[in-house]
Amino acid sequence: MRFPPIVGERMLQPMATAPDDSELMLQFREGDLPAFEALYTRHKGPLYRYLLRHCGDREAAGDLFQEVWGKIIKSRGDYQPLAKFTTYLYHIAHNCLVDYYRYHGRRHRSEHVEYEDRLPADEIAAPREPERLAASAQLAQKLEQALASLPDTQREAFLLREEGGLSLEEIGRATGVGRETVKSRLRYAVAKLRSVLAAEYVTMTGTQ
Amino acid sequence: MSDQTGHEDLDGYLLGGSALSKAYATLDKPMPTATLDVAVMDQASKALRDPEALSSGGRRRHWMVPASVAAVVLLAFPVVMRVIIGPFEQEAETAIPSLEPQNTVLERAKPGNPRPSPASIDGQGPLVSPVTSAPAAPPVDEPAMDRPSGPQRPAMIQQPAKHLLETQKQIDNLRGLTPAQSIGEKDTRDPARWLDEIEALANDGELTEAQAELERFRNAYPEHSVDSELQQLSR
Repeated sequence: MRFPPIVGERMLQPMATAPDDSELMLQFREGDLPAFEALYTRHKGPLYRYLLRHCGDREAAGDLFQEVWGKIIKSRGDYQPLAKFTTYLYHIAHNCLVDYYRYHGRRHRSEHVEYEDRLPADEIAAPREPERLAASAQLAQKLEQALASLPDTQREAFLLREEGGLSLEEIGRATGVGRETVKSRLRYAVAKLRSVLAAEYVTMTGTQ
Repeated sequence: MSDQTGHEDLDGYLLGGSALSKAYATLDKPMPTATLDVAVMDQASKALRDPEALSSGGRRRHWMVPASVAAVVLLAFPVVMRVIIGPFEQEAETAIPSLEPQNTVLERAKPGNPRPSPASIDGQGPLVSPVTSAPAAPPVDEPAMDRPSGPQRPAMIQQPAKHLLETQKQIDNLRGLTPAQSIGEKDTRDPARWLDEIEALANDGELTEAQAELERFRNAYPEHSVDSELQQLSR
Protein backbone atom coordinates (compact mmCIF):
# COMPACT_ATOMS: atom_id res chain seq x y z
CA MET A 1 0.00 0.00 0.00
CA ARG A 2 1.46 3.32 -1.01
CA PHE A 3 0.92 6.39 0.92
CA PRO A 4 0.78 9.67 -0.83
CA PRO A 5 4.00 11.58 -0.48
CA ILE A 6 4.11 14.07 2.28
CA VAL A 7 4.19 17.35 0.51
CA GLY A 8 5.21 19.19 3.61
CA GLU A 9 4.49 18.73 7.29
CA ARG A 10 4.04 22.39 7.65
CA MET A 11 1.01 22.24 5.41
CA LEU A 12 -0.69 19.82 7.79
CA GLN A 13 -0.12 22.02 10.80
CA PRO A 14 -2.63 24.73 11.56
CA MET A 15 -1.75 28.00 10.01
CA ALA A 16 0.17 30.25 12.32
CA THR A 17 -1.98 33.17 13.33
CA ALA A 18 -0.62 36.65 13.13
CA PRO A 19 0.74 37.81 16.46
CA ASP A 20 -1.55 39.90 18.56
CA ASP A 21 -0.90 43.63 18.87
CA SER A 22 -0.12 43.32 22.56
CA GLU A 23 2.24 40.46 21.82
CA LEU A 24 4.06 42.57 19.25
CA MET A 25 4.30 45.43 21.69
CA LEU A 26 5.73 43.15 24.38
CA GLN A 27 8.25 41.82 21.88
CA PHE A 28 9.21 45.36 20.98
CA ARG A 29 9.61 46.13 24.67
CA GLU A 30 12.12 43.29 24.79
CA GLY A 31 14.06 44.85 21.93
CA ASP A 32 12.46 43.32 18.85
CA LEU A 33 12.44 46.00 16.16
CA PRO A 34 10.66 43.88 13.49
CA ALA A 35 7.79 43.44 15.95
CA PHE A 36 7.43 47.18 16.12
CA GLU A 37 7.59 47.44 12.37
CA ALA A 38 4.72 44.97 12.06
CA LEU A 39 2.73 46.89 14.64
CA TYR A 40 3.43 50.18 12.92
CA THR A 41 2.49 48.85 9.51
CA ARG A 42 -0.77 47.50 10.90
CA HIS A 43 -1.92 50.74 12.51
CA LYS A 44 -0.22 53.59 10.72
CA GLY A 45 -3.00 54.13 8.13
CA PRO A 46 -6.02 54.21 10.46
CA LEU A 47 -4.16 56.32 13.00
CA TYR A 48 -3.04 58.81 10.39
CA ARG A 49 -6.56 59.13 8.96
CA TYR A 50 -8.02 59.54 12.43
CA LEU A 51 -5.62 62.38 13.13
CA LEU A 52 -5.99 63.95 9.70
CA ARG A 53 -9.78 63.90 9.68
CA HIS A 54 -9.90 65.07 13.27
CA CYS A 55 -7.68 68.13 12.95
CA GLY A 56 -8.11 68.66 9.22
CA ASP A 57 -4.52 69.76 8.69
CA ARG A 58 -2.07 67.54 6.89
CA GLU A 59 1.03 69.08 8.42
CA ALA A 60 -0.42 69.01 11.94
CA ALA A 61 -1.57 65.44 11.39
CA GLY A 62 1.98 64.46 10.44
CA ASP A 63 3.41 66.07 13.55
CA LEU A 64 0.79 64.47 15.75
CA PHE A 65 1.34 61.11 14.09
CA GLN A 66 5.05 61.26 14.88
CA GLU A 67 4.35 62.42 18.41
CA VAL A 68 1.96 59.54 19.10
CA TRP A 69 4.41 56.91 17.91
CA GLY A 70 7.19 58.64 19.79
CA LYS A 71 5.20 58.27 22.99
CA ILE A 72 4.48 54.63 22.22
CA ILE A 73 8.19 54.02 21.74
CA LYS A 74 9.26 55.89 24.84
CA SER A 75 6.69 54.34 27.11
CA ARG A 76 7.28 50.78 25.96
CA GLY A 77 8.88 49.99 29.33
CA ASP A 78 5.63 50.83 31.11
CA TYR A 79 3.36 49.02 28.69
CA GLN A 80 1.07 46.45 30.27
CA PRO A 81 -1.37 44.51 28.08
CA LEU A 82 -4.35 45.35 30.26
CA ALA A 83 -6.53 46.44 27.34
CA LYS A 84 -6.52 46.24 23.57
CA PHE A 85 -3.50 47.88 22.00
CA THR A 86 -5.77 50.00 19.80
CA THR A 87 -7.43 51.45 22.89
CA TYR A 88 -3.99 52.30 24.26
CA LEU A 89 -2.90 53.75 20.91
CA TYR A 90 -5.96 55.93 20.40
CA HIS A 91 -5.95 57.03 24.00
CA ILE A 92 -2.49 58.48 23.44
CA ALA A 93 -3.64 59.97 20.15
CA HIS A 94 -6.64 61.54 21.85
CA ASN A 95 -4.40 63.10 24.49
CA CYS A 96 -2.06 64.45 21.82
CA LEU A 97 -5.03 66.01 20.03
CA VAL A 98 -6.28 67.57 23.24
CA ASP A 99 -2.85 69.10 23.82
CA TYR A 100 -2.73 70.24 20.22
CA TYR A 101 -6.11 71.98 20.44
CA ARG A 102 -5.19 73.52 23.77
CA TYR A 103 -2.03 75.00 22.27
CA HIS A 104 -3.27 75.95 18.82
CA GLY A 105 -6.94 76.50 19.46
CA ARG A 106 -9.80 75.04 17.48
CA ARG A 107 -9.43 75.54 13.78
CA HIS A 108 -12.34 76.43 11.59
CA ARG A 109 -13.68 73.07 10.50
CA SER A 110 -15.34 74.35 7.31
CA GLU A 111 -12.07 74.15 5.43
CA HIS A 112 -11.72 70.48 4.66
CA VAL A 113 -8.69 68.71 3.43
CA GLU A 114 -8.10 68.69 -0.28
CA TYR A 115 -7.11 65.16 -1.09
CA GLU A 116 -5.22 64.30 -4.17
CA ASP A 117 -7.70 61.66 -5.21
CA ARG A 118 -11.21 61.60 -3.87
CA LEU A 119 -12.30 58.39 -5.48
CA PRO A 120 -11.72 54.85 -4.32
CA ALA A 121 -8.87 53.10 -6.00
CA ASP A 122 -11.04 50.41 -7.53
CA GLU A 123 -13.22 52.96 -9.23
CA ILE A 124 -10.16 54.69 -10.62
CA ALA A 125 -8.86 51.43 -11.96
CA ALA A 126 -12.19 50.40 -13.48
CA PRO A 127 -14.35 53.46 -14.02
CA ARG A 128 -18.01 52.77 -14.41
CA GLU A 129 -20.52 54.87 -16.18
CA PRO A 130 -19.95 58.62 -15.83
CA GLU A 131 -23.17 59.26 -13.90
CA ARG A 132 -22.36 56.82 -11.14
CA LEU A 133 -18.79 58.01 -11.04
CA ALA A 134 -19.91 61.57 -10.59
CA ALA A 135 -22.46 60.52 -7.99
CA SER A 136 -19.77 58.65 -6.09
CA ALA A 137 -17.42 61.61 -6.18
CA GLN A 138 -20.22 63.85 -5.03
CA LEU A 139 -21.06 61.42 -2.25
CA ALA A 140 -17.47 61.42 -1.02
CA GLN A 141 -17.35 65.18 -1.07
CA LYS A 142 -20.65 65.47 0.80
CA LEU A 143 -19.51 62.96 3.36
CA GLU A 144 -16.20 64.76 3.88
CA GLN A 145 -18.03 68.03 4.42
CA ALA A 146 -20.60 66.49 6.74
CA LEU A 147 -17.87 64.83 8.77
CA ALA A 148 -15.94 68.08 9.03
CA SER A 149 -19.04 69.93 10.20
CA LEU A 150 -19.62 67.60 13.13
CA PRO A 151 -18.68 68.72 16.64
CA ASP A 152 -15.23 67.48 17.67
CA THR A 153 -16.49 64.95 20.19
CA GLN A 154 -19.01 63.41 17.77
CA ARG A 155 -16.50 63.34 14.93
CA GLU A 156 -13.94 61.73 17.21
CA ALA A 157 -16.39 59.01 18.29
CA PHE A 158 -17.29 58.28 14.67
CA LEU A 159 -13.65 58.18 13.55
CA LEU A 160 -12.63 55.93 16.42
CA ARG A 161 -15.40 53.57 15.43
CA GLU A 162 -14.65 53.62 11.72
CA GLU A 163 -10.86 53.87 11.69
CA GLY A 164 -9.94 52.25 15.00
CA GLY A 165 -12.74 49.70 15.03
CA LEU A 166 -13.29 50.39 18.72
CA SER A 167 -16.40 49.39 20.62
CA LEU A 168 -18.42 51.84 22.66
CA GLU A 169 -16.56 50.88 25.84
CA GLU A 170 -13.18 51.16 24.14
CA ILE A 171 -14.04 54.58 22.73
CA GLY A 172 -15.02 55.60 26.24
CA ARG A 173 -11.71 54.38 27.63
CA ALA A 174 -9.73 56.09 24.88
CA THR A 175 -11.48 59.43 25.33
CA GLY A 176 -12.04 59.26 29.07
CA VAL A 177 -15.86 59.31 29.08
CA GLY A 178 -18.56 56.82 29.92
CA ARG A 179 -20.26 54.37 27.62
CA GLU A 180 -23.55 56.25 27.56
CA THR A 181 -21.79 59.46 26.61
CA VAL A 182 -20.10 57.70 23.73
CA LYS A 183 -23.40 56.20 22.67
CA SER A 184 -25.04 59.60 22.67
CA ARG A 185 -22.23 61.21 20.69
CA LEU A 186 -22.21 58.42 18.17
CA ARG A 187 -25.97 58.48 17.80
CA TYR A 188 -25.95 62.20 17.02
CA ALA A 189 -23.05 61.78 14.61
CA VAL A 190 -24.73 58.97 12.72
CA ALA A 191 -28.03 60.85 12.57
CA LYS A 192 -26.41 64.03 11.24
CA LEU A 193 -24.33 62.22 8.66
CA ARG A 194 -27.35 60.30 7.47
CA SER A 195 -29.53 63.37 7.23
CA VAL A 196 -26.88 65.26 5.28
CA LEU A 197 -26.32 62.39 2.93
CA ALA A 198 -30.00 61.43 2.56
CA ALA A 199 -30.18 62.34 -1.07
CA GLU A 200 -26.95 60.51 -1.83
CA TYR A 201 -28.24 57.45 0.02
CA VAL A 202 -31.21 57.29 -2.29
CA THR A 203 -28.88 57.39 -5.26
CA MET A 204 -26.47 54.90 -3.72
CA THR A 205 -29.01 52.32 -2.57
CA GLY A 206 -31.51 52.93 -5.34
CA THR A 207 -34.42 53.19 -2.91
CA GLN A 208 -36.82 55.99 -2.29
CA MET B 1 -36.02 62.16 14.24
CA SER B 2 -37.29 60.55 17.43
CA ASP B 3 -35.06 58.93 20.06
CA GLN B 4 -36.44 55.52 19.16
CA THR B 5 -35.41 56.00 15.54
CA GLY B 6 -32.02 57.29 16.67
CA HIS B 7 -31.45 54.20 18.80
CA GLU B 8 -32.48 51.93 15.96
CA ASP B 9 -30.16 53.79 13.59
CA LEU B 10 -27.31 53.48 16.03
CA ASP B 11 -27.95 49.80 16.66
CA GLY B 12 -28.03 49.17 12.94
CA TYR B 13 -24.83 51.15 12.49
CA LEU B 14 -23.06 49.32 15.32
CA LEU B 15 -23.92 45.97 13.77
CA GLY B 16 -21.66 46.90 10.87
CA GLY B 17 -22.18 46.98 7.16
CA SER B 18 -24.50 49.97 7.30
CA ALA B 19 -24.86 52.29 4.33
CA LEU B 20 -23.00 54.97 6.23
CA SER B 21 -20.05 52.70 6.86
CA LYS B 22 -20.05 51.67 3.21
CA ALA B 23 -20.10 55.32 2.18
CA TYR B 24 -17.22 56.07 4.54
CA ALA B 25 -15.30 53.15 3.11
CA THR B 26 -15.54 54.71 -0.35
CA LEU B 27 -13.53 57.70 0.81
CA ASP B 28 -9.92 57.76 -0.11
CA LYS B 29 -7.46 56.42 2.42
CA PRO B 30 -4.57 58.80 2.88
CA MET B 31 -1.44 57.24 4.34
CA PRO B 32 1.52 58.80 6.14
CA THR B 33 4.32 59.85 3.89
CA ALA B 34 7.46 57.80 3.48
CA THR B 35 9.35 60.49 5.37
CA LEU B 36 7.11 59.94 8.37
CA ASP B 37 7.62 56.18 8.14
CA VAL B 38 11.39 56.59 8.13
CA ALA B 39 11.28 59.06 11.00
CA VAL B 40 9.18 56.78 13.20
CA MET B 41 11.24 53.69 12.45
CA ASP B 42 14.45 55.62 13.10
CA GLN B 43 13.05 56.71 16.42
CA ALA B 44 12.21 53.12 17.34
CA SER B 45 15.55 51.76 16.31
CA LYS B 46 17.40 54.52 18.15
CA ALA B 47 15.36 53.84 21.27
CA LEU B 48 16.32 50.18 21.16
CA ARG B 49 19.99 51.00 20.70
CA ASP B 50 19.97 53.46 23.57
CA PRO B 51 18.40 51.98 26.71
CA GLU B 52 18.54 55.40 28.35
CA ALA B 53 15.89 56.54 25.89
CA LEU B 54 13.31 54.64 27.88
CA SER B 55 10.56 56.67 29.39
CA SER B 56 11.08 58.38 32.70
CA GLY B 57 8.56 55.95 34.14
CA GLY B 58 10.71 53.01 33.12
CA ARG B 59 13.78 54.52 34.70
CA ARG B 60 11.88 55.54 37.75
CA ARG B 61 10.87 51.98 38.44
CA HIS B 62 14.49 50.98 38.97
CA TRP B 63 14.98 53.16 42.01
CA MET B 64 11.43 53.49 43.22
CA VAL B 65 11.35 50.16 45.06
CA PRO B 66 14.65 50.57 46.94
CA ALA B 67 13.80 54.16 47.76
CA SER B 68 10.40 53.15 49.07
CA VAL B 69 11.92 50.41 51.22
CA ALA B 70 14.53 52.82 52.59
CA ALA B 71 11.86 55.40 53.38
CA VAL B 72 9.72 52.83 55.18
CA VAL B 73 12.70 51.64 57.24
CA LEU B 74 13.67 55.19 58.14
CA LEU B 75 10.16 56.06 59.21
CA ALA B 76 9.54 52.82 61.07
CA PHE B 77 12.87 52.72 62.95
CA PRO B 78 12.03 55.43 65.52
CA VAL B 79 8.64 53.92 66.11
CA VAL B 80 10.07 50.45 66.66
CA MET B 81 12.81 51.79 68.93
CA ARG B 82 10.23 53.71 70.88
CA VAL B 83 8.19 50.57 71.35
CA ILE B 84 11.20 48.47 72.37
CA ILE B 85 13.19 50.95 74.47
CA GLY B 86 10.36 53.10 75.72
CA PRO B 87 9.29 50.88 78.66
CA PHE B 88 12.91 50.53 79.96
CA GLU B 89 13.37 54.27 79.99
CA GLN B 90 10.15 54.65 81.88
CA GLU B 91 11.24 52.04 84.42
CA ALA B 92 14.59 53.75 84.93
CA GLU B 93 12.88 57.07 85.48
CA THR B 94 10.57 55.65 88.15
CA ALA B 95 13.19 53.62 89.99
CA ILE B 96 14.68 56.35 92.23
CA PRO B 97 11.47 58.17 93.19
CA SER B 98 9.97 54.87 94.22
CA LEU B 99 12.47 54.30 97.00
CA GLU B 100 10.79 56.54 99.49
CA PRO B 101 7.33 55.08 99.01
CA GLN B 102 8.89 51.65 99.25
CA ASN B 103 10.08 52.41 102.76
CA THR B 104 6.66 53.70 103.64
CA VAL B 105 5.22 50.46 102.44
CA LEU B 106 7.66 48.56 104.61
CA GLU B 107 6.64 50.47 107.70
CA ARG B 108 2.96 50.21 106.93
CA ALA B 109 3.31 46.53 106.30
CA LYS B 110 4.19 45.91 109.93
CA PRO B 111 1.52 44.04 111.85
CA GLY B 112 -1.11 46.39 113.19
CA ASN B 113 -0.59 49.07 110.62
CA PRO B 114 -3.35 49.60 108.08
CA ARG B 115 -2.77 48.15 104.67
CA PRO B 116 -1.71 50.83 102.20
CA SER B 117 -3.84 51.58 99.23
CA PRO B 118 -2.29 50.14 96.06
CA ALA B 119 -3.41 53.13 94.06
CA SER B 120 -1.57 55.84 95.94
CA ILE B 121 0.77 56.02 98.89
CA ASP B 122 1.49 59.38 100.52
CA GLY B 123 -0.04 61.05 97.55
CA GLN B 124 2.86 60.13 95.27
CA GLY B 125 0.94 58.10 92.78
CA PRO B 126 0.71 54.39 92.25
CA LEU B 127 3.63 52.19 93.17
CA VAL B 128 4.16 50.06 90.18
CA SER B 129 7.83 49.68 89.58
CA PRO B 130 9.17 48.45 92.94
CA VAL B 131 6.50 45.83 93.40
CA THR B 132 6.51 44.56 89.88
CA SER B 133 10.29 44.52 89.63
CA ALA B 134 10.68 42.31 92.66
CA PRO B 135 10.94 38.58 92.06
CA ALA B 136 7.58 36.95 92.42
CA ALA B 137 8.82 33.68 93.93
CA PRO B 138 10.44 33.60 97.38
CA PRO B 139 14.07 32.48 97.65
CA VAL B 140 14.64 28.87 98.41
CA ASP B 141 16.68 29.43 101.57
CA GLU B 142 13.98 31.53 103.17
CA PRO B 143 11.75 29.46 105.44
CA ALA B 144 8.20 29.70 104.29
CA MET B 145 6.87 29.20 107.82
CA ASP B 146 8.29 32.54 109.01
CA ARG B 147 6.56 34.54 106.35
CA PRO B 148 3.08 35.78 106.93
CA SER B 149 0.69 34.11 104.62
CA GLY B 150 -2.76 34.86 103.32
CA PRO B 151 -4.19 37.18 100.77
CA GLN B 152 -3.83 40.25 103.01
CA ARG B 153 -0.03 39.90 103.20
CA PRO B 154 1.60 43.11 101.83
CA ALA B 155 3.44 42.74 98.61
CA MET B 156 6.75 44.13 99.86
CA ILE B 157 6.98 41.48 102.58
CA GLN B 158 7.08 38.87 99.86
CA GLN B 159 10.41 40.26 98.71
CA PRO B 160 13.52 38.44 99.83
CA ALA B 161 15.39 39.67 102.86
CA LYS B 162 18.47 40.52 100.89
CA HIS B 163 16.52 42.77 98.64
CA LEU B 164 15.01 44.51 101.65
CA LEU B 165 18.41 45.13 103.17
CA GLU B 166 19.71 46.63 99.97
CA THR B 167 16.66 48.82 99.73
CA GLN B 168 17.12 49.94 103.30
CA LYS B 169 20.71 50.81 102.54
CA GLN B 170 19.61 53.02 99.68
CA ILE B 171 17.01 54.70 101.86
CA ASP B 172 19.55 55.32 104.61
CA ASN B 173 21.97 56.77 102.12
CA LEU B 174 19.30 59.12 100.91
CA ARG B 175 18.50 60.12 104.47
CA GLY B 176 22.15 60.62 105.38
CA LEU B 177 22.25 57.95 108.02
CA THR B 178 25.41 56.05 108.82
CA PRO B 179 25.51 52.35 108.14
CA ALA B 180 25.64 51.71 111.86
CA GLN B 181 22.29 53.32 112.28
CA SER B 182 20.66 51.13 109.74
CA ILE B 183 18.32 48.36 110.80
CA GLY B 184 19.73 44.88 110.71
CA GLU B 185 23.32 45.94 110.23
CA LYS B 186 25.83 44.80 112.75
CA ASP B 187 27.47 47.88 114.20
CA THR B 188 31.21 47.96 114.56
CA ARG B 189 31.37 50.91 116.88
CA ASP B 190 33.11 50.62 120.17
CA PRO B 191 30.60 49.13 122.66
CA ALA B 192 31.60 51.35 125.54
CA ARG B 193 31.45 54.50 123.47
CA TRP B 194 28.12 53.45 121.97
CA LEU B 195 26.69 52.91 125.47
CA ASP B 196 27.92 56.36 126.44
CA GLU B 197 26.07 57.84 123.49
CA ILE B 198 22.92 55.98 124.48
CA GLU B 199 23.26 57.23 128.01
CA ALA B 200 23.74 60.77 126.75
CA LEU B 201 20.57 60.48 124.67
CA ALA B 202 18.65 59.26 127.71
CA ASN B 203 19.99 62.08 129.81
CA ASP B 204 18.93 64.58 127.17
CA GLY B 205 15.38 63.24 127.44
CA GLU B 206 15.32 61.60 123.98
CA LEU B 207 14.14 58.35 125.36
CA THR B 208 12.68 57.00 122.13
CA GLU B 209 15.92 57.37 120.27
CA ALA B 210 17.85 56.00 123.20
CA GLN B 211 15.63 52.94 123.24
CA ALA B 212 16.13 52.42 119.51
CA GLU B 213 19.86 52.76 119.85
CA LEU B 214 19.89 50.35 122.76
CA GLU B 215 17.93 47.88 120.65
CA ARG B 216 20.52 48.21 117.91
CA PHE B 217 23.29 47.81 120.42
CA ARG B 218 21.80 44.59 121.70
CA ASN B 219 21.47 43.31 118.19
CA ALA B 220 25.10 44.14 117.55
CA TYR B 221 26.48 42.95 120.87
CA PRO B 222 23.97 40.51 122.35
CA GLU B 223 26.39 39.25 125.01
CA HIS B 224 27.66 42.63 126.14
CA SER B 225 26.55 43.67 129.57
CA VAL B 226 24.47 46.80 129.90
CA ASP B 227 24.13 48.99 132.95
CA SER B 228 21.03 48.63 135.01
CA GLU B 229 20.05 52.22 134.31
CA LEU B 230 20.14 51.64 130.60
CA GLN B 231 18.34 48.36 130.96
CA GLN B 232 15.41 50.29 132.36
CA LEU B 233 15.05 52.01 128.99
CA SER B 234 13.96 48.84 127.32
CA ARG B 235 11.22 48.15 129.84
